Amino acid sequence: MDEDLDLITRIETGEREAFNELVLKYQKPLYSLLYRMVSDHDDASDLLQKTFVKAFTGLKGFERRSSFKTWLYQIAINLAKNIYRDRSRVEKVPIDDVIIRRDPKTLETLIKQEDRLRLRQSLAGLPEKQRLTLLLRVQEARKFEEIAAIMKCSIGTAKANYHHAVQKLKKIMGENK
Amino acid sequence: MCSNTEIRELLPTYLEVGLDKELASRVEKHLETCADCRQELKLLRMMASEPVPDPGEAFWAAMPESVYRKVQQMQEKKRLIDISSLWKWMLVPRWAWSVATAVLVLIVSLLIVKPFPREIPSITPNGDDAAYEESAIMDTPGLTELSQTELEDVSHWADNELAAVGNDIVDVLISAPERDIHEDLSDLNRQEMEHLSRKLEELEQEEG
Repeated sequence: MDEDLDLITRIETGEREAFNELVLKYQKPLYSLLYRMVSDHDDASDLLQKTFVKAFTGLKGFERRSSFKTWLYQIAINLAKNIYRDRSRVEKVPIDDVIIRRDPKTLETLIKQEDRLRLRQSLAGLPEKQRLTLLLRVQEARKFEEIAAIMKCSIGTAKANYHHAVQKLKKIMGENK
Repeated sequence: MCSNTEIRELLPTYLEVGLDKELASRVEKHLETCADCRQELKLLRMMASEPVPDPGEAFWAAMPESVYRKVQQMQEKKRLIDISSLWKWMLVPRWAWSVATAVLVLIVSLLIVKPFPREIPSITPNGDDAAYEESAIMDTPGLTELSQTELEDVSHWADNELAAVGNDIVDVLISAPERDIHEDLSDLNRQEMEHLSRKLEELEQEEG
């Protein structure tokens, strides 16, 4: 993470190269997180730009107690939260539409599509903190220490949120079968 | 529900193939006997494999530039807002400026016409009277050093102080006990006595 701090110091002295380097380093993982939160490319790319802009215009507010990466994730999650909430409410897409659009060739693909849709709907039914914890742990492969820093909670709370989320998800998926 | 939280917490890392051999074999051994954890792993695998579309190289390559431009725009906008807020402050209605100027002029005029009274330092003699008197004389400014206003102040002060002293003298004279005339006459010498008797005769003649 010292590498990031070094880049930030160089950015503060007006070095354009350091700016580009920092954007290139984090744009893909951030886009992945944002896309998983909002399920739309346009929204995700817009939020990605906003995240970087907010971070770079507010560099003076970065206290360097946590890592720059954690700080970026916090900004991205906060910006995406509103859209994320809205999406979770309107996630219920009719399954027929999905099948027709994707034009599946095999029965296996059909079942997979159906499972994926059920999974998205089940995820949408989870409380926000549990859903975000699950997303960060499983889809973004973040460690509990990182999740705790991003979510501004203790590691114990992060683990508890994770376990509750998994249990609820299993239950909802089981009921929907 | 499986109560082995340690293994359950390892499942996401197991999925990423991030566990060392020993831990991985422990997880696998547990999975062989635990249907609940197998179901959980299947669910986690499904989640992890949720596809995220790749917007393409052009998108990634353009991102730093577009972010940089946006940051520049934001900073420029902030600068303009700062300047415009200063202008807004400067462009307050004319009546406000007039009132403020009038109030300022009034305060300055009052200070010129009626300045704050100067603080007179308290003098406390410090044991040695002679030294105190000497220092008091040394410290006393000459009248030529005083301004017109200060001279007027001194004159005003002297009038007040002397009037008080005069009043004290009058009070003493009025309240003094009647003097004995015989005592006074006995103090006169012969010549003075003759002069006094002549004066009395003259007065009697004038009255007669």
